[in-house]
Amino acid sequence: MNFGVLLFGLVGIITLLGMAAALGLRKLRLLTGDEQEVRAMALEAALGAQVREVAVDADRRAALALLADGRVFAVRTLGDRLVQRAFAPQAISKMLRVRPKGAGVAVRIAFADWGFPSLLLRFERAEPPPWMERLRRAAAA
Amino acid sequence: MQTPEHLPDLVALAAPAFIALIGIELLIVRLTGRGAYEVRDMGASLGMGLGNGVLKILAGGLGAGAFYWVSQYKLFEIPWAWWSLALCFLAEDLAYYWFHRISHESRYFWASHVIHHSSQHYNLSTALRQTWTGSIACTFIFWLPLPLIGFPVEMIFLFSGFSLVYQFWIHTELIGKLGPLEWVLNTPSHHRVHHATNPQYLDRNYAGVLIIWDRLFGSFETEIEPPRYGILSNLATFNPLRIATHEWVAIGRDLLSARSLTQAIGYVFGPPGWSRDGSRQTSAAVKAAALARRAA
Repeated sequence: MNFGVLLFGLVGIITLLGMAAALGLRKLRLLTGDEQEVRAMALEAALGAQVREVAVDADRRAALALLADGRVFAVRTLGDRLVQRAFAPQAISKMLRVRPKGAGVAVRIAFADWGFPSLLLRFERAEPPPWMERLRRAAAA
Repeated sequence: MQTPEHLPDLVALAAPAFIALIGIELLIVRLTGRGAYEVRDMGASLGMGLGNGVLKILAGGLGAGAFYWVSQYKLFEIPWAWWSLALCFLAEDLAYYWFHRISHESRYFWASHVIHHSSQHYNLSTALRQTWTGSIACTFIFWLPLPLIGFPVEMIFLFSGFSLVYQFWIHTELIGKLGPLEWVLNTPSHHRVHHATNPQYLDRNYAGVLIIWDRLFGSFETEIEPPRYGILSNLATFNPLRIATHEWVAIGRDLLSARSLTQAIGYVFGPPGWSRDGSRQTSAAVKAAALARRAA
């Protein structure tokens, strides 16, 4: 292996990415927006844990659920796939209200997991759901 | 047989074929709807492959240096001959099997290897989603017995390169089962099982070229139900730096929470998913839970 081969590889990668994009292989899977979808995913992933509350991003790119055992269940889109993870409450490292690009209010939630970047949930109303506000205050404490 | 003066770098020679075959697979996937590609996932995989190449140039000398150092103490003088080539091929493939198996069973080695499993897709680009930290983490130690036995270092490199090139084509959903070859060779079907997170498929089929090692050491599983690809805690990012380092960061966090040396050792060298309070699941626990559910 030498830098010439790597340069050739870089040109090849750029060509392949262009080709894939031209073939329409840049895909985005969105959530349906239905809370039941998130509840079903949480039930399967968290092995039967009861789901207390669910919040789905207005743009259908992320969702957050509060489980009866105190854990939170996070879902986000990643290309044409969904990624889901159950976190202990102490794994929420930051939870901030932010100004969204669209209408309403948004909450950004960061987790102590380098492989799971922060979630952004936008709500088309003046306030996020009350349970998320409680979670935010607990994370800030 | 004379000692060859110059041996080809098989991986570098194969690079144009890798790119061409990914292009062909892209077209087939688009035209037939079989298999799956997503641009950013592919970009992440190929970016990881490129980064692996850079780090091999920068840190690959560590492994080579260790091989040459160990070869000073070799037990036998093994010449270049047809029989030594055959033996070296088998020995390299066996070393790969144990490197691969332990890379799934011990979190220290998993932290480098998890990168290769971190895509939820399974296509030829996934083959190039390779570690950035393997050389630094000294994963080459699994091959050190070979120069110690007396195999020439260049011969070992020849077969490790061959193994890497061989394993490229098995990362595809477009090829089904291959009849009698399934008994001897690691095939696309066997390797799909290896990349799957279905409980019965977890930690199975570690082979490089020959599947016989899995049959011999009890880690073989045949492909029956459709595989679901990825890892138990899938990554939510296409960022190559996060992909390359996420498990090392997680190990660091866990070490900070460890309350004893035993716990620290468990977090670093225990099976992936081990935790001091049992709040996470290892592959073995996931398999056991799935079996219990099936039995209930």
